[in-house]
Amino acid sequence: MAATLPILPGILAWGAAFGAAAVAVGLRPAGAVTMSAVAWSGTAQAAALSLLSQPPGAIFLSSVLVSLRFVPMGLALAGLLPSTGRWRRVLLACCLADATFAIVAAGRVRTPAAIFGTWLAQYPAWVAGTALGALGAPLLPARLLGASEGLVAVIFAVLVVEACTDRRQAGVAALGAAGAATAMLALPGTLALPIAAVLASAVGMAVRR
Amino acid sequence: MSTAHLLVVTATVAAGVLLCKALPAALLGARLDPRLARFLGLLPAATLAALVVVSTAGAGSGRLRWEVLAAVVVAAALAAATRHGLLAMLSGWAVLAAELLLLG
Repeated sequence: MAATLPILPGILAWGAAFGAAAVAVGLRPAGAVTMSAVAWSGTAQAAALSLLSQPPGAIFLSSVLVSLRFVPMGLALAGLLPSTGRWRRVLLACCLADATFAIVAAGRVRTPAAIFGTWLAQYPAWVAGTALGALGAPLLPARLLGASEGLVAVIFAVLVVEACTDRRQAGVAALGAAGAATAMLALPGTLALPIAAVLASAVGMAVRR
Repeated sequence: MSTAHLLVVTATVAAGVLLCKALPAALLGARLDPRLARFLGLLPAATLAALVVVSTAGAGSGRLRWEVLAAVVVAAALAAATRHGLLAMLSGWAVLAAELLLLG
């Protein structure tokens, strides 16, 4: 759980941003907290806020599309935890969030128990942040809520450096970043991410030297 | 919004998220082909780097946030130069805080 400490402020702020946004579109604070407690995905929840009046099928499709970034993360778990059985890996994949994956990929935690520990630390922070934002939205400075994604981006930047242990990985990371930036010119980030990550890894595997 | 509607929305969102999280892990067996294992070994760095770009741009904003980019560059450069993660994170956050205070 200690590995999670640096990312908790960002998660708390991002949760507060979601809680404030949920109340602004008409959800009761208890509803916003319920959504965070059950769905536990900021991006999918934020997307759902703009689709509240749509049929469940549209909300499900939106949720899948914005969660596609978890596909390469779930696949990568097999490489990161080679001796862990399939169904245990499935359970751990359900505990994945962007920040959890970043910590695991950077090598800060490498055991199933430690990964579960990161979830144990993040989950209450996310739910508490939502409650804070939903109840205290009028009192919280808008600039603080707007900065939440920036806090998390800085953490990811440090962790990607830690994850690159050799030249090939550094090259693949640079390619992944360039690919995501290029793809985002035409696609939303949530689609650009898995496409860029998979293509960059495939190129990295194909290059012999 | 009724409680029943909220519960349906919440369950639907959770189902979409869990499908994307669990399915890839469920499809891969315990013994991996060496080529697949090599590919999966490269995937974390590529995914993380793409995640940095997406979170720097901001979900759905569609524009580059220069203030976040500056903080990200400072943090990454310090992490690479010093290999001291916490110092790099704190420096990046300090850049972000300074920009918020000075630029609004």
